[in-house]
Parts: sequence; structure tokens; C-alpha cells
Amino acid sequence: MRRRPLALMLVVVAAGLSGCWRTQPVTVGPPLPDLPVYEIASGGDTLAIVPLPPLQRASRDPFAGASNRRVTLTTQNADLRTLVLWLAQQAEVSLVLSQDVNARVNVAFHDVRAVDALRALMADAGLSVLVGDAQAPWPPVVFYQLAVNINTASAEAIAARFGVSLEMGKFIVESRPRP
Amino acid sequence: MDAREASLSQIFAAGVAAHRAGDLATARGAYERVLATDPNHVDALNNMGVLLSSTREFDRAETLLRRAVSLSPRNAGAWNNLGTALAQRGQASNAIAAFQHALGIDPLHPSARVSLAQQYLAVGALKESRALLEAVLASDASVAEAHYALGQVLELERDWAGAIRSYNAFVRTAPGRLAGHVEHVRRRVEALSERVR
Repeated sequence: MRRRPLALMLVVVAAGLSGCWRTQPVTVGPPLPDLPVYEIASGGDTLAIVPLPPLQRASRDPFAGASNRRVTLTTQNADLRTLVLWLAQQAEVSLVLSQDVNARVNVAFHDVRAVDALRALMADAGLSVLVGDAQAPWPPVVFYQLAVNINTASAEAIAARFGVSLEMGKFIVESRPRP
Repeated sequence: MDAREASLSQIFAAGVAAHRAGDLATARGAYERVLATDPNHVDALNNMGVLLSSTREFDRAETLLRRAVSLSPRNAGAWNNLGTALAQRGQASNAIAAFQHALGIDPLHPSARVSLAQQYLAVGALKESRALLEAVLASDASVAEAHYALGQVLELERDWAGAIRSYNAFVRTAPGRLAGHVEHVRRRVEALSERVR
């Protein structure tokens, strides 16, 4: 057991332990075949090539717009997914949890901001957030692994963080808008 | 445009027409001729990558699509195609990175939004997937792939009537190249209709 700020006591037992909650697919038949979305270029001006957007000055903190609601909560052997989603709801932030986020945790929060509890819980559980464009209409995706800002990280860091090839990391780095 | 460029454009255009008509052999021959003359022809690289993905020659497809995005890094469509090829190879993390990169270039890019929604669907994030797909369809109701994916989301949410509506919209909007999927969807609509009764 470790003591942390915010009166947090948290034990991450292990990822992928029993009791993990999963949505069971309910369909009337076998899954429909994949439908990959490809675009055929018809020459020159037909592929979507857009001008460089203005530099993003907005905060890339995925929780920047969180509410100040405070929470008090003590749980034992709680489902990490449920806890993260509940705290996100209290903090009024949107998240998508990767399916590999599974663990049971013990927590004790006393009168802390929900968003601070969420950050502490995620840090202790080894979760990180994959954030898209600052103005993106889709929510950030939560993964296990260290946090890396894809817009500033090196190719090696991107490859390590996202599990992509080094070549892909280099492509992303080289494709950033030049200042 | 000189005679050589004009000829290359005509060959490429013939390839595109054949590709869209499903004549992959003719399209492939045309793209290969274009690339033999101009190895850095981004659109030919892109289309050849798409064609090779459809024939499940993913190694070469990925190589060509990577060349396309390296030559044209602000090309959201090519990034989407690279992501889709990676997704088909089971490289979900690489695919998501490519889709998000495409959307970083063009946040409203329909194909990349649908592709990302498909990834959300794959991990069970139905609410987020549905929100993206509904946003795409609000902008353009003719994106057949978005209706298809939305039908899948609604089915998983047990909204049978909604799923039937989306699948029927897919059948109405699907281009000829998706005839195989249309047949699957028609059968699914029949099964869902039985469930509703």
C-alpha cells in the first residue's frame, strides 16, 4: 500500500484479472463482413488535400474542460473500467476506454475534485490518454502505457508509446506542420 | 501539359475508370504503366495501394501507401487509406494513429471519421462510434459505409428498428462495388424484421 496526495490509496492488482466487465455482442446473426473505407484518387485535385491549419494553441489536456465537482469514495476490489467511467462522468469529461483496460482496484478518495481523482487513478493504474487534434469532435482514447504527446514526441517515443513501427513514427514526425 | 503528360493522364484516367468499374486487371495495368513512367505519381501510388489491398496483397499495398503519404504528407485521403490497410492487417494501433493523423489534417474528412468509428465499434465503444457516424451522415447522408457501420452499432445496442433503418439506407446508397455487402445486409434486415415482429 502506498500513500499518495489527494488521500488516494490505490492498488492495481493486475491487468486482465478475473471479473473484468465486457459487453457481450447481441446480434441476430454472425458479424457482417468488414467494410474497409478506401478512397480512389481520380487525379490531381480529387484527393482531399487541405491547406495547413493554423497552429493549435489550445490546451491539449484532455481534461481541460472538466468540472470542479468533488467526490468522496471508498471502494475495495472495484472494477477499474467502471471507476474510470464514473469519475469521468462526475468530471464531465468524455473518454473511450480501450478493451485492454481491465483490473480490480481499491481506492479511497475524500473530498477531492473528480478530475484530480481520475488523473491519480489513471496514473497509478498505468493508463494514458491518446489525444487527437485539440478541436477534434471525438473523445480521447484511454490506453495502458505511458503518456506521450503525439504532436511533440520523437519517432522513437511514438513507436514505443503506441506500439507502432519506428517507420510509422518517423512518418508522423515528418508529417507535422513546419513552424 | 506536354504530350507525355497528357498520355500519362489518359492512362491514369483509364485506370481509375476501370478500377471504379471493378475491372482490377485493367486498372492494375494502367497504374503500373503510370508508375513505370513516374514512380512518384502520388495518385497512382495511392490507387495501386487500394487495389492491392482489395486483392489482399497487403505487403506491397502498405509499401505503396507509405510512399504516397511520404510524398504527399498533407493528403488526408492517403493517410486514411494507409490506416485502412493497416486495420485490415490487424494493426489496430497503427491504424488508429493513421486515422487520427488524417483527421489532424482534415477534421471533417468523412472516410477517416468512418474508419475511426469502425475502430471504436471494434473495441465496443458504441456511443462514441455512433456519435461520429451520425455526424458524418448529418453532413452527407450518401456515405454508404457510415450507414453500414451505424446499423452494426444500433444492432449491438439492440435498437432493432434503428438498425433496420440504417441497413436499408445502406442498401439504398451503396454503390455497385458493394453488391456483396448489400446481399449480406438484405439477409440481416430480414432476420432483424423477424426479431421485431
